[in-house]
Amino acid sequence: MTDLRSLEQLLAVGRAPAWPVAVRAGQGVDFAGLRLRVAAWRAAFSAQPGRRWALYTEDSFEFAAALFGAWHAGACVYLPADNQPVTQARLREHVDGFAGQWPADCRPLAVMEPDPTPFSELDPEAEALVVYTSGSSGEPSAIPKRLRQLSTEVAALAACWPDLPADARVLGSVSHQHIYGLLFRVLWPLAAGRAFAAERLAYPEQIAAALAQARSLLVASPAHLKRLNDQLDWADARANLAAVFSSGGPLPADALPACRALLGQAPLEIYGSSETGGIAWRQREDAATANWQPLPGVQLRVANDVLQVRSGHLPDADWHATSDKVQLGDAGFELQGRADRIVKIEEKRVSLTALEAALMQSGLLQEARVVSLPGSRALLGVVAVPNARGWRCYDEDGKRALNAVLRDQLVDLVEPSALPRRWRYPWALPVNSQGKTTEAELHALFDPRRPEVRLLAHDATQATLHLQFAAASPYFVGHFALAPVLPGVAQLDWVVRLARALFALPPRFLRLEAAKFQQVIVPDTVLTLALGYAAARGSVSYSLHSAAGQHASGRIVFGAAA
Amino acid sequence: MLALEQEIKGLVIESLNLEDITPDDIDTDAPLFVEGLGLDSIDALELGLALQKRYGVSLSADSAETRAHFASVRALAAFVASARKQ
Repeated sequence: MTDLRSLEQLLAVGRAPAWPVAVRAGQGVDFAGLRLRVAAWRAAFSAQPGRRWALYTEDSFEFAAALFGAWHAGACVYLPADNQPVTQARLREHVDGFAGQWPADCRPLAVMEPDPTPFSELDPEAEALVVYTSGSSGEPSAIPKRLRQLSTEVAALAACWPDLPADARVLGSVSHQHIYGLLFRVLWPLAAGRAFAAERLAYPEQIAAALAQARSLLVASPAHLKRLNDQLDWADARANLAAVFSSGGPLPADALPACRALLGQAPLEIYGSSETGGIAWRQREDAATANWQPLPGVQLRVANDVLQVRSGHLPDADWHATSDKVQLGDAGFELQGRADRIVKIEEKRVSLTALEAALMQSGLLQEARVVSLPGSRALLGVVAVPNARGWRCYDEDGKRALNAVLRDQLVDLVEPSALPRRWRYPWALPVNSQGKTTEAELHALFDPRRPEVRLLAHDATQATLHLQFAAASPYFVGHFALAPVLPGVAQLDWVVRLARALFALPPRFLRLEAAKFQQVIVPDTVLTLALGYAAARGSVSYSLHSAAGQHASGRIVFGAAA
Repeated sequence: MLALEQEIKGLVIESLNLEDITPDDIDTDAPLFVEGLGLDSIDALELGLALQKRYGVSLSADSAETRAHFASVRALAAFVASARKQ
C-alpha cells in the first residue's frame, strides 16, 4: 500500500524532507530537493505577466518541478510532444512564453531564487494543462485539462493496482510530454510517493541495465515491448520487475511470448486516449486475447456501434464518444477497430483521409489511397495514380524522385516514423470483379512478387509496358544462388495477370502456344512487354524484350468457363 | 573498413526493409536519422537489434554514446570494428 497525496495537496501537505522522489544520473533526489526546485520555478513563473507556458524538457524531475512551479504560480502548462521548429511556430500563437529546453530565440524562462512562501493547496478546477493528440494528422488538436481530471485519474490508477510495491522505482521508455507518460511516469509516482527515474530509457540495453539495479515498475509502449532484445541477459531485470505497463497503441499478440519470457510477465495494457484519458486495462497472462476492464470510476456504454465513456478524467459529466468499435459484455469489452479511417503507426495516430487529401494537393496525381500495411512494423503504403505531370516526374527523374516530392507534402502532417514508406504507381486503381477498389486489391499491389510496372500505351487490342523485377524479388531466391534468373513460370504468370488487368479476357486459361524463352532475365532488367489481344480467338500474344534483345514470346489462349 | 561500410549499408536497407534504394544511394557520411535517410528512433531500435544479430555487438546503455554511433554509416562501421575487437 502507498500513502497517497492528491496532486492538489502534494506540496501543501508534503512528505518527510528525506523522502525519495526521483533518481537522476544515479543520484537520489529527495522531497526537500523537489520542494526547493518547485519554489524556484514558482518564483520564475510568478514574476512573469503571462499565464500560458509551453513546457518541454527531457529530464522528468526538472519537468515535474517546472510543472508544479507553474501550477503553484497559477499558470497553465501547454505540453507539446517535441520542441521542433514547427511545434515552436504553432505554439507561439497560443502561449505567452516557453519554459525548459528551447532555442534562444524562444527566450526560455530563466529559473529564479526559490521563494520560501509556504505552498497552498491547488484549485482542482484550475485550467492546469493543455495536451495534444499524438501525432494526429493535420493540426494536432489541443485538449485542455483541469487539475481535477488529472488528480482523479491518478487516484483511479492507484485504486486499480493497490498492491504494487511502494518502494519500487518507476522507470520509463515513453516521454512524459504525452499524457500517458505524464500520468504514469511522473504524476502517479509523485502522488504515491514512489521514486521515478528522471531519464527516459531509449534502448533495450538501457532498459535491461536500469531494471537490473533495483525493484522497479516499467512504463513502456509497444514500440519497445515488440523489440526486446533476446540476446541480452534479462535475469536480474526480470527479478526486479514488479510490473510493466504498455500504452500508446495496441500491443500485438506476437509480442507477448517475448515479454513473458524476458520480463517474466505480460504487460498491464492501458487503453485510452489524450481526449478521454485512461479508459480500461487488461493483462494477457496466458492468452492471446483478453477482455478490457474499465478503470475504477469509468462508466461505459455503446451507442452507434462505438464505445462511449463517462468518467472523472473527462472535462464534464457527459458521455463522450470514442472512435473505437467495441463488443461490450458482462466480462468487459473487446476492441473491434476504429470507426473512422484513423490508424496508429508506431503509436502515432494518423488520419488516412487527411494524408490522401494532402497527396492530392501535389497536383501530380489523379487519385491517391493510403493503406496501413501489416507486418512486424506497421507501415503506411501509398497507391497513387499519377497525372501527366506526375508521370513526367516518374519517367524523367525516377520513382524515388516522385516518392520524395509526394513525401514532402506530408512532412508537416505526420511525424517521421509515421510517413509512408511504400509507394506504388499503378496506371489505375485496381478494382475487383464488382468494379470496387477494395483494401484487398490495394494490398495486393504491395506483394513483394509484383514487379515495378509502367504502362506506356494501351488500347482495346494492344498494350506496351515496362516491367522490372528488382534483385530483392522473392522470384530470385534460390533460382539460382550464384546466378539469379527470373523463372519462366513467373514471366508467364505476370503476362497473364497484366493481360487480365488490361483486356476483358475470357475467364479460363486453355493453353500456351509457341512459347519460347530465348534469353534469361537477370535482376533489375528493364523489360518491355508487348501484348496483343485477338478477341475473336480469345488469345493474347506476348513478347518480352530489353536492351539485351528478345527474352521470351508466345501466345496464350483463353476460353469461356467450362 | 570500406567493405564493412558497404556491408552496413546493405544491413540498413535489409533490416529496415527500405524500398527504392540501393547501398550506393547511401552517403557514408550523411546523417542516418531525421535528415539524410530520414530514419527515426524506431529505426534506431531495429538497427540496434540487427547489428547485435549480425556482429554480436551490443550498444552501450549510455544514450549519448549510442547517438554518436548512429551518426552515420562511417561512425557505425567504426563502432562495429572496434567493438568486435574487444
